[in-house]
Amino acid sequence: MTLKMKSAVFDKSVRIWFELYFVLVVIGTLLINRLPLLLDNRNPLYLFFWFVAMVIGCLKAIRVKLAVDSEYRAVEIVETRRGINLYLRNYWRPIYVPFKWLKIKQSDENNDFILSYDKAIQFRFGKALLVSGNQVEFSEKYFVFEEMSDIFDVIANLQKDPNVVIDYDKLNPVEKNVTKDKWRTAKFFPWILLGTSLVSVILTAIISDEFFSPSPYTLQMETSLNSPNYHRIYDYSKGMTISTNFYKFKILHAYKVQEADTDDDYIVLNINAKTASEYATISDGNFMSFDNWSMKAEKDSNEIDDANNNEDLVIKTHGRKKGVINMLRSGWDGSEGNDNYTFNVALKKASGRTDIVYAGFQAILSKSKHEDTSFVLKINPNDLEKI
Amino acid sequence: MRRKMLITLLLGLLFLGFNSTNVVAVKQPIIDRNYNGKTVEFDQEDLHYEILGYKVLSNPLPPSSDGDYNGLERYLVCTVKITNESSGKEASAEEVIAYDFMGWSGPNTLYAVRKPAHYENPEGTVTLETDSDSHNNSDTLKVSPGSSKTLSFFYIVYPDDNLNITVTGLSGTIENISLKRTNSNNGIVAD
Repeated sequence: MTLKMKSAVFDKSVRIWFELYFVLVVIGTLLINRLPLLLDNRNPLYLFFWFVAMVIGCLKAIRVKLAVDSEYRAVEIVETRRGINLYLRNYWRPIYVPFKWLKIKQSDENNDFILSYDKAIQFRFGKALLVSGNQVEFSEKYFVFEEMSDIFDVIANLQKDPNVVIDYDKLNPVEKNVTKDKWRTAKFFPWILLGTSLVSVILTAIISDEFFSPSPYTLQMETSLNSPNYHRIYDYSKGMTISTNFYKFKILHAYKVQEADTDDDYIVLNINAKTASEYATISDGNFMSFDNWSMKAEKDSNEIDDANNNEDLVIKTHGRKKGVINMLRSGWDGSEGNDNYTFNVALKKASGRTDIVYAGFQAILSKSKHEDTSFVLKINPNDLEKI
Repeated sequence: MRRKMLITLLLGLLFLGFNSTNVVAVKQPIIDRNYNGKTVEFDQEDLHYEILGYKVLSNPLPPSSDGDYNGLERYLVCTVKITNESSGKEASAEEVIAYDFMGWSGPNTLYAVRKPAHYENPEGTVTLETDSDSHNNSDTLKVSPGSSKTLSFFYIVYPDDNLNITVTGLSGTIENISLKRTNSNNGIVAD
């Protein structure tokens, strides 16, 4: 006579496992997203990470499904009719509890049985070991209630009289297909979780990618130009942040201004730069403007303007001539002074969209380890502020 | 449940740590100070530094340079008094190097240049400079124990910029003294 069950610990532990799995995958994705400062191309890493995560998730789900489909013994009345064998998780082998040490209670609020024993015996290596008492709860969550109450009734009767007649037919009820009710959710639940976690991981990846590096042009332009991934391309928006290997730039403003004498249009970028590397050096030689940037145009030096042409730009503002303050000129070195400066860079404006390039390295040469990555900032004339 | 929360928390901390390492570079310590119109004083090891004042000269003008087509550049002169406060048997003369005094015009570092020919330092003031052309050893100065020296440093600046001077003292700490901050509500021209 045996009380069978599905793995009693299954429900909770699997849920926890999948929740953790989900959190890990999301965190992993976010971590990879923060890597561009060290890594130039993250895509293979993403694919590898998700592939591994998916394999791990599927393996676990398969294991869970196998566990759900198999049965476990929980309580067994021994043939001598003087006690029961308990199959508990804490013990590798079943422990034997004589009826004398056993008490069975049924909890009032729900249909759970609480089995408490003062002591138990474990047979190991041909010896009997005394195990201290404990109590075990048999919950309706994991067992069919009728089966439980039948077997515990028999145990209660046997406790009173070992010779009582047992109705075996009643004790071997027709196999109930438990998977139909309680187990159904448990069975599908890992699969559902796996599906939703993957979807949300991909979604977070897209969202965080947009968030950390808004770059609608990147792939298309990079691949078409046979350039290494050292250029990142951005659409300008006020207050945006751009990270290169050496700096974290915050583009505070982009102004359209007129040069005082010639009335030529210039763009003045008001930038805050935070140094992230001791190799970092920056000067106005790093900035130039293009009317339509391409890797080839940068290599051929087809820029409209270099920032070092405008170190002393004087502009018209409300009818008065004023020099632009805190212009980036010779710049600073990562090892000296503060690591955080706000400065201005002035460049000639193109007639339509202006592409401003921060060249961390020279495009005609290959980038060395101690040179920064570059970025291209595409500025729509409508986004320019006026003083 | 508790273990799960703990692990999530630890991973969260890892994430935070990662985030902050992006923008931290190994650097010498920096102390920021503001020049309030009187003096700024600080000590580093045995030397006592006093920033006595600064002036943007309207005359003489610096020689015209490449980038300065509109002739905006001016001389900035900054006066610093240095006292060697060491005493007793182990007192020793300390060497002051011009390269330890850097000027800043906005975000740009500047080396101390030679004193303009038509400018007279006040009595007892010595100019330190880093001009490589000159061979007069004017880039270092010894300050003997118990004595003090008044030094002047010349930098070529754009006068509308924020003006700073950074002093790397004996202990290696950088003192960043803000001489002047330009008020601007748009960040690109002075108000």
